Amino acid sequence: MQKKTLLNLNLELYEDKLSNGLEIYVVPKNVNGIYATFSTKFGSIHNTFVPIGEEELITVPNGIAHFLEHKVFEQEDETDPFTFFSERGADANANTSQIKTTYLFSGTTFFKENLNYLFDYVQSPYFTDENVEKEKGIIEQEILMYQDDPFSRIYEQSLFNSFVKISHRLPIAGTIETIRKITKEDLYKCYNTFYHPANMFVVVTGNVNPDEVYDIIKTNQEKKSFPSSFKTVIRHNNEPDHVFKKEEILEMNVTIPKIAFNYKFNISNLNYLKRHIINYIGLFFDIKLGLTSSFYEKMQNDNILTSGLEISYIETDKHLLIMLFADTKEPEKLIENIQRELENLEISEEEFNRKKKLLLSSYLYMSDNIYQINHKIMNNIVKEGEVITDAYQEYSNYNVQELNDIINKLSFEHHNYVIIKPKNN
Amino acid sequence: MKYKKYPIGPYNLHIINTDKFKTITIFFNFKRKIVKEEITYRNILRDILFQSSKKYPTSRLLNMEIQELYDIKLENRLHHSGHYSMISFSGQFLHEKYTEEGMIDKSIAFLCELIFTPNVSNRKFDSQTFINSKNHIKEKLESYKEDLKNYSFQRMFEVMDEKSVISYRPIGYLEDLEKINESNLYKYYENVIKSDLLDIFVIGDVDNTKIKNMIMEKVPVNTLKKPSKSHYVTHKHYRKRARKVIEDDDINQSRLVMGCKLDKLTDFEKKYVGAVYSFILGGGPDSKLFKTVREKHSLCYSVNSNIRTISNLLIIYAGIDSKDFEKAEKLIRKEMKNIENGKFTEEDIEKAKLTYYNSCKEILDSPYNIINTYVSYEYLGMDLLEERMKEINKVTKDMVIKFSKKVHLDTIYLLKGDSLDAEKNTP
Repeated sequence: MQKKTLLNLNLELYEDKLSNGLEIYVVPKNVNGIYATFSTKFGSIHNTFVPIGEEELITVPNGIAHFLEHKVFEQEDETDPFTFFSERGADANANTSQIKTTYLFSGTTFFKENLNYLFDYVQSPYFTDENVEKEKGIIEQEILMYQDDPFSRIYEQSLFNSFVKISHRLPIAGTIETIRKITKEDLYKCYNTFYHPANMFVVVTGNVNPDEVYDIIKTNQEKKSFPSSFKTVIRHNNEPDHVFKKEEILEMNVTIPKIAFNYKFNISNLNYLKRHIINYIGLFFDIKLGLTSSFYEKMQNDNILTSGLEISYIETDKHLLIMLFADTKEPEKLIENIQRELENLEISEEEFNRKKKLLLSSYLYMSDNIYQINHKIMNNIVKEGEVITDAYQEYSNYNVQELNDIINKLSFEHHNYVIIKPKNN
Repeated sequence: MKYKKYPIGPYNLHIINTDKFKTITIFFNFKRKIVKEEITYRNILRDILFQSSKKYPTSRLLNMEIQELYDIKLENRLHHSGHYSMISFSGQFLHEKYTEEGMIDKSIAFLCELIFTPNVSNRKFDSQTFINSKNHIKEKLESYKEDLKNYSFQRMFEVMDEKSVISYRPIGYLEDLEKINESNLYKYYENVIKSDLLDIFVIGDVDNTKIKNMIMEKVPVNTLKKPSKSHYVTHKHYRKRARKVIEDDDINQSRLVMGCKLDKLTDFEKKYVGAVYSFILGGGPDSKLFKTVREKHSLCYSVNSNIRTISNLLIIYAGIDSKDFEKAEKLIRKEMKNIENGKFTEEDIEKAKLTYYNSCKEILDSPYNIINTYVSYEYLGMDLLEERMKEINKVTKDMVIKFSKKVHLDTIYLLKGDSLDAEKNTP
């Protein structure tokens, strides 16, 4: 395996690619735990595509990547993967995001068997009309659980109202209506198209020997055959800069109103790498509205906010959506104040340098935890196509001039809000 | 890894020496017996001490210092451990070899500054800080029903025994909040510093003598206290038939919480058998409940059980459609009965043991988890990790069956929402 140093972290990264296209990444660390993830670059946004062996674009029901994640656990011989891992002392799970689906386990014992089985169960799909039907009741309850959660509701509504055409606007789990339409044929089409090893990668972090990991996976994969050519054609709609809906007020069974205030930026014409643009914009919002801002001090003293705004983001091909979440008794006043604060885009060098420390230290904190290291690598692979080994150096080179250059080129005109108000009973 | 306890007198200092982490973690734990009327005081107190201090008189200045200290991770928490209320303050920061020289001293001094020199004048907390903190706690109290799972657990405890300490809300009470002001809170603070039992834990690559001297210099706690009594809660009454309470709410999914009282457990059962039982019943995706209620009958997404030995309780939770309430209850009861009747295998026990063993090993990968094992060793008489990994192997099938007979279903609580099928029929 090829060895690279993760600079400033005292960690090494080993990487390689098998002949079937599967990429392998290993970061050994002197801990007891081992964390292994096996992911496909298939998530909730990939719902219009040309299935493998076909020529026409099809659109599958929303929520299918997540549904498929549940069904991959179904095995023809009726072994339950959870039982397999449990018998070997490991915790197994899986999750689906907008851009990928990941199968995982963690544990300290029976590593070789567990790793082999991770590939074996994911690479042996078995869908029947009956087992697909049975899953619908379970996923319906999962969706209802999210619908009762004010944060999930406001988050999903924000995405739906901010984007106009792209699938990022739809909930990852789908809706009760869309998942009821899913058939086993749909699942096989998605599986055969996106679960090809060339569209997948494995990341192992923790108490392992990289060569051993490589040998286990190589031997495992050599026993299986896959179509030799692999190509995905996925349609992404062209997303306009404006938001779908500017204002929305929902009612829910809450006592304190919730708000999401969202800015949609077109970042496709800026002359920087996307990851730097996102970091800079994140720093900007944190400086302007975070816990050390005069804005937050005022909001706290006026009892508009009692704890900090939560700042989150979603990136798409062309856009960055910055989402500001808060619980507040005065949503309208909060919006007014945020907008007023952002009329002045100036940032002092002193503040910038203090915030830069956060970026650097969060990278170091991350490197102490095998779960976080693994997630960082997965994110890098899906978003950057490679692992960034000198991120610490990159952050060190950040400066206030670049920040100002980026911020001054942004248009702040596309924004919207979603408010959840208590129901009047 | 090397552990050493320094009984200073008014408090204990515990230092765990290891170079496994890039961070150093320091953890202060204040505890006393729970008094219902004090819970809200303790909540606002833990909050206010991290809002400002003498040296950093506003929350803005305090947060700037956090960033100057390379983002020291501060946490404060109030939780109930049986009969005891624990307030903890902790700070985790990068070792100075990753930042700059002097940061260990500065970071520890900062945390001590926040805890021991609050922003107080004329024996009153600073009024702006007090108002901000009170607003924060007030909002949490007003919205605590929004976390439906947590709320339904809380309601189950109240239905089970509203007089018992298990039903006290760890977040406090709105009516008590109104009684708190800048001066009586300060009085309470002084009382905490004087009377609460204090343990301080430090873990990381540190020089013990230096840390000890520093703590003794920065921690102005000098009263000797009576030793702690048992944390464990025992129950006075056991219901022959479970009490069932259903409350309607305007929600989509119904939350079912079933509370069981545990009767006269032996020390070994408390420490080990209970964990194995709960793992087999509802400990994860390979458990009896998950396989039956979720996988076989498709009634839910979440279903699990967890054991709270300090309160002598076992709690089962499921998120279901309201029309399936009776069916789910029946299935859960049946799975419990099956264990009583020995309808489970040696493999089930082996899986539970192996999982337990693995989780012990993984505890050693996290500074906070390591500290927790020493906290439960000190306060609850739990064993240390090496001992645990040996002892768990002594659990047998007979022990699990014997334990299962001490699990008494006592309270069934349903927070009832709409039914999906009913909803479908409305236009």
